[in-house]
Amino acid sequence: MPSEGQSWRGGGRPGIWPLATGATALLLALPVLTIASFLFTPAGEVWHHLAQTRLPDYIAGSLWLMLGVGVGTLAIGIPSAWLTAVCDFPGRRLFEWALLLPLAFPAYIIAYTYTGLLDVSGPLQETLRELTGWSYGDYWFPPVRTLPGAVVMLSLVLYPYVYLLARAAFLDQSVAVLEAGRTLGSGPWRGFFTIALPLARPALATGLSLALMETLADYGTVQFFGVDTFTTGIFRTWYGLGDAPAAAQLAAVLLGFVFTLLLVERWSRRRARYFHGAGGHRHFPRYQLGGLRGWAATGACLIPVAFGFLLPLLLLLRWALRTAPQGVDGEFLQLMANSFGLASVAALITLLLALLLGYGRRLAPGPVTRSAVRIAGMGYAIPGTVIAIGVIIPFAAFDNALDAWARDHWGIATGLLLSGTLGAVLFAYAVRFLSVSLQAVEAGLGRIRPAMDDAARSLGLTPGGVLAHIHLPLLRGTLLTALLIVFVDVLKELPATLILRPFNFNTLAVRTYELASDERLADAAPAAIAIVLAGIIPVILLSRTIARSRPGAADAA
Amino acid sequence: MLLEAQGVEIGYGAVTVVKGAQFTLAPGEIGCLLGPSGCGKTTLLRAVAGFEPLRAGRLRIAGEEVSRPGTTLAPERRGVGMVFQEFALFPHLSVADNVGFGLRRRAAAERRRRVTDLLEVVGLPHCADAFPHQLSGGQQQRVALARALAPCPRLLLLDEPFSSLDVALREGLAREVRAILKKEGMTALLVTHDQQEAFATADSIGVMQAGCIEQWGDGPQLYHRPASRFVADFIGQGVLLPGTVLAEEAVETAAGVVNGPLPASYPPGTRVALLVRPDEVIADPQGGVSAQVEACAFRGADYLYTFRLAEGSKLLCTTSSYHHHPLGSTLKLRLNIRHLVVFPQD
Repeated sequence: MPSEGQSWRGGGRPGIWPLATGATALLLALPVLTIASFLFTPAGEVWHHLAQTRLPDYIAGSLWLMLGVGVGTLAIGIPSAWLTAVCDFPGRRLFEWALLLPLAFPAYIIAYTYTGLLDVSGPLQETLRELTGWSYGDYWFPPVRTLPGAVVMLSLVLYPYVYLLARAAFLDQSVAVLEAGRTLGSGPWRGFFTIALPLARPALATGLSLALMETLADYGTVQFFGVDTFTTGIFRTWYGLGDAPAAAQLAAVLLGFVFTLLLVERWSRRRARYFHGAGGHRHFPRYQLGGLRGWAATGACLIPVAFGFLLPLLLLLRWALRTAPQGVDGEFLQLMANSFGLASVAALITLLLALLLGYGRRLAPGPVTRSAVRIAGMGYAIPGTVIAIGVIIPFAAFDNALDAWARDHWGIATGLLLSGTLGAVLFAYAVRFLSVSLQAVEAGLGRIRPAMDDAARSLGLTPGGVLAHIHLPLLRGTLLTALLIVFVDVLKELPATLILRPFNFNTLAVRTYELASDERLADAAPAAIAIVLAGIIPVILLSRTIARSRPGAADAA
Repeated sequence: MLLEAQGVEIGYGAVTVVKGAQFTLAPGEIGCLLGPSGCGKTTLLRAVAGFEPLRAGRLRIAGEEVSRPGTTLAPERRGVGMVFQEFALFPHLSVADNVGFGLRRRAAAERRRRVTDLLEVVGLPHCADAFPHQLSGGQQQRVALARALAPCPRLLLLDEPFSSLDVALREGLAREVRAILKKEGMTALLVTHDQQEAFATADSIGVMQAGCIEQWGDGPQLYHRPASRFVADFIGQGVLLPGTVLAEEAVETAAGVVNGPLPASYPPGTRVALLVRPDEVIADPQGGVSAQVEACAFRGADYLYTFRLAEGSKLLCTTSSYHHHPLGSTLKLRLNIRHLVVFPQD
């Protein structure tokens, strides 16, 4: 009866909305399309040189990193998820959300922190030398700044993705299935391996692919540890060799990796439907872990929280207290202002774009708007390095073309209008983080029945008026959350900012990176602390969602 | 005419949802589109509201053309109010703000006065500051009505307005809504799948099936003179008894010969189906047909019997709640049919 499919749900003339939706999506797809086009351009000399010398290293580095981080995040994420989801032990309710805390740490900051702790000149080895009387070279100490080191660092901050999704899957599993298992005599261990784990496979695949996408996107850690990966390769080709096409072609290969991951994730999620339990959120009688086993569980959950959050935070605090008196000056405040201002504007722009796309799709549902929204929402999977190269190439081309045209016709030089401006940085942020806002907007709009729109229209509101008077007031909470999450994501973002920022424009993340690169780890602490503290905000938001989804919670929605 | 629909066709791609819809509503008239779900009635209503474009035909409101292929006047510029199936009250606004929503351009004092008046009219003067979720279904319904009436629309549309309410509430509320609409002199078009609601609310009813309006008329017309087998079947109960045309005004059936003018001329000997309503079958010891009680349903005010005639065809019959006949017993019946309704037998 009511319209399905392609109809224009807004009534009247479609007006500007569908056009604006399509144009926005296309604009946001520009960086990815640019990079993808380099798959089809003939390779230059530098590329041939690269392919023969460094490319195998980049591929091997990235693959080893992914393998290591995959094993690491699963090894930490699954047990902690299982323990907090279906067992009871001392501190369980605390760990339910505390296990998310490492998400607040960008990988590069935890890498700097552990380097400061474990390096030759760090407090640990110094103490060791004092105690034993050995000097440097007399003993073997595990080196941090290596590929295995990077694996550990990334696993410590990325396991929460696996934890989150695995835990939700364990909670979602049909209670009846697990109870049937118990009546058939399978205890916690057998129930876990024979029932829960196989059922949770699709969720694990999703969590793992998120962690691996972050791994592929990481630049700060691998750069600092000197590990050869795609991102470090792209930087080296871009800045070291100054070869834009070759860098773009490297980025295109990285893009291929990311899309493969995306496809695998999609595919595993498609199967997820068949695995979904029908049991709903009935209270599951938890396995009571008493005595020693209970404390062992506590310990198992404490380790990732301690090493992924508490210890590095304490170290940073100690350094910050030491360096703050000199470090926190006018320049630092300027950094804060830059970072917070940039993040606020980016969050706002991203939200407005998400509203435009989400609402445009609601007004004119159909294959065109659906694919537009899908394309525009891809950014979360694309590494910041790739987006930055994808932004800078078309922007520079535009600037050069405009400059040449203006010289020819008016005899004036327009110089660089787009590249090297904050506009380019903001555009890259919008491409990268739009999906965060878009998901929030789409989920929020989905909860508002279309009849609400129709009612407002029949009472005299235009489509824009409906958005302003009905949707925005109803979505206030959701939108605020989306703003906050993008704000923090921008604050943490490193590689795209590094490539695109205007000359002499610094942010907290960039300054942290620069100081760490100069081995001034303690001096980097105040800026790093600011980023980590801001990073706790989305963790709190997440943990509140978790509390609400806990079975038996009063307002389980 | 306040509302004119002329050859309206609505569809998407290869699907045609409404075909050649044609009807008019006079000022102050309450019309109704009645039909099973999926018949296109809601789509037609939404087209009148301006939410669906036309593929063919015209829609005029008070003489002004509001829809034709390629041009659809926006809903907010039609002066048409609408009450939705689940009311679609704005959850973030109080009852008074919901009712006053369409009055944003009026002066504050005037808006307050109109809101107060309307809450009085729908019998909820004390609920102005409540929020929608604090109201019962029936109260939400009335707020939705008040909200739609507030801007004094030229035409009010109601989409299944009673379907989300308890069955016990529906008929009473339907009559109440009719009284309010009549008092306000409002022209209205209602959509429902429930004939009792349609009879209780509307002056004229269009029965729809598979995108077509099969017949437009008032309740008794639809019941007594259905224009198609579908209308005969959809409105009220009854059976189609096989028969043969004897002469110009006589049909022979297993229940005897029935006399009366036929709706169309059939040559003698034509096989036809004669519509027999339960209230046209009377249990009468003097009756000429004997039949056996095959089933019996007690419905409170009456019994509904299913009788089987000697040659196998069946008849429905209502009797007063005191006339009980055991299953299997044989009774005498007679037919008392005032308007012959026959369809060609296929």
